[in-house]
Amino acid sequence: MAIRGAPGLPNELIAALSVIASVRDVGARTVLVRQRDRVHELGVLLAGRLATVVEFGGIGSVQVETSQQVGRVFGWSGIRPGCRATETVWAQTDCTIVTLPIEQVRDLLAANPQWAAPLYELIAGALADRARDLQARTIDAERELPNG
Amino acid sequence: MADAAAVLRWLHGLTLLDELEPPDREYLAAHGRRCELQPGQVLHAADHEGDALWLLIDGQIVLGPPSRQADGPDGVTRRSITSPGYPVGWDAMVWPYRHRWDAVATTRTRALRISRHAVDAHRADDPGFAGRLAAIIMWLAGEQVRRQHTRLVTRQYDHEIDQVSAIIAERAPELRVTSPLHRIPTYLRSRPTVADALRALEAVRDGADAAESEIARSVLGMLEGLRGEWRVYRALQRVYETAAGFPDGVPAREVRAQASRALIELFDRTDHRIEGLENLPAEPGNIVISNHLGTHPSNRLPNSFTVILDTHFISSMILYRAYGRAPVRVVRDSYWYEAAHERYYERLGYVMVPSSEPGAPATSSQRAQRWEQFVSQASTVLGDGLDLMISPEGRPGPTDGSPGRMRIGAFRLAATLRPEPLIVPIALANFDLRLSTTVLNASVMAPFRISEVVDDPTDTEQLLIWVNDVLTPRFRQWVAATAALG
Repeated sequence: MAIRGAPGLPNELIAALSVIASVRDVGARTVLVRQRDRVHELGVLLAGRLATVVEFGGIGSVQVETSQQVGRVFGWSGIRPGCRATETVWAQTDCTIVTLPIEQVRDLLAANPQWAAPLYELIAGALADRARDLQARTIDAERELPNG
Repeated sequence: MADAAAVLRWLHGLTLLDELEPPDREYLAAHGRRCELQPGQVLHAADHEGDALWLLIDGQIVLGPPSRQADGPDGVTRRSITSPGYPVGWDAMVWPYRHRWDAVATTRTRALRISRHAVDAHRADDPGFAGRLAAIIMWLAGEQVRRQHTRLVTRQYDHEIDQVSAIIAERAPELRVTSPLHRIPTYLRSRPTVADALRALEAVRDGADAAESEIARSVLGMLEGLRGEWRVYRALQRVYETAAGFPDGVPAREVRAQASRALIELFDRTDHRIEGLENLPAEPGNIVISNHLGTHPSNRLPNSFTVILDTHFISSMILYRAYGRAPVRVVRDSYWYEAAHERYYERLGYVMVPSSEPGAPATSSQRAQRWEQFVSQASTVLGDGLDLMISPEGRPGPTDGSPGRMRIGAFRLAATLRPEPLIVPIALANFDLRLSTTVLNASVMAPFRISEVVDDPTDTEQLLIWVNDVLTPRFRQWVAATAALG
């Protein structure tokens, strides 16, 4: 699996995830995850470009990121039971993605609790990288703002 | 926190780590070492291998990119961490096990340091602990991404109330339906209920729900400016009640003095700058003129009365402080529907002049009678050794382009009175802006007598030309320079 840090996953976990994973093509403008909806799939980008949109009350929907990074994970917030999507992710171009049904991922982790840490850490690492890159982008954007 | 038992009690109370189980906390308490950090001390640097987790006890740590300046601030806004129990250094507990950002203490800070070696050893021994810790880290990482999303969007919005409303709305699905956070945007939009918003936020911050506590903490950090404005608003309310609440029979001079003292308490809470105090005459009993600025609408009191800040600043912070005597202002009569305005000014003994109410215009006889009355009152004020404050514009406006059109009444008055009084100009800037984002500036300019600047000050035409062509442009330069004081 072409995600940064994935080689650190136990082989048994990779094998188990591969069994439930599906690779499919989605057309441009397909909504993959919708903010506040229940999450049905954990997804990984293999090719194409994804856009992330966040709806802010009183402001509206704002596109906050685009990514062509192979291994970009989406739908991660659905891994914890009862949690809903915190952002909307849609295919800005035709994309190839890997999807894993979230219920089956949860069942795997419940049956094999030793796999929770490596999977959560993998996702956390990817999110930390995103946060760092977003912060750099925000700082650059703030430096461009006019004074006054 | 003297021993492991105390550390354990502290860990049990941390909502941020409520996913951990008692054996997890016992392990951390046994292997943690309390550290005291000085301002500027670096806990970890970006791209370095992680060697510890630091659970914040108290103080402040900022997370962000390495500073771009060798010394001093670099103008970059970083994430402030003040939540007790926040595990600084989590970003290197995940692959590639190198920090994504710097962590620097900005105040004297205490933290519980647990070595990476101890964390890894327990993760290896107890997969359950490893999973629980990883779940906490995943939540923190997701929250970090959300913060950056919010910052990307809300940097477009000057007003922190809009930012706070946007943040709470975006996080609404995570909140309990009964959460007080849902009420915060409504409370914040009315100045009298800002205190209720702050109290509710503080209660949520200190409450048991980790997610809501984190949101409340973040929002409170954004509202520091508003908190300062609210303190000024409370002081405005006290000023109004001080002046309007005096019983009949108390001399106006005493009411003005007490109001001035309340105003000084108010303005001492603001950022302000006064230049040119050396230009004030040695004794009061002069005509003091100034440009007239509006007050930000957020300072309107619940009874719809607005305490105009600029003239109150002059009367208290400049004249009362200099001479120990509160001046008398020339103020327009209240309109028939302005009960609060009437109640306030009635007790202060000001010189009231007719307002331009709709209706039949005054006859020339009525205007002459009003003028004589005004001159008589003004003469009495100056003769009592009090300053008389007049805003020649009559109406307030913004700092930009101030003053607008100035009327000649103050200068006709000066030309009429004997002995001829000094006229002391004071330029004002920024009183129309939000108090939390500005510095209130005032400049006392050199005093003059009208006979020194106009050949025949009793000639209305000459006065008009001098006011329009000489004084007004010069005053605008003074105001612009005053605005630039910083």
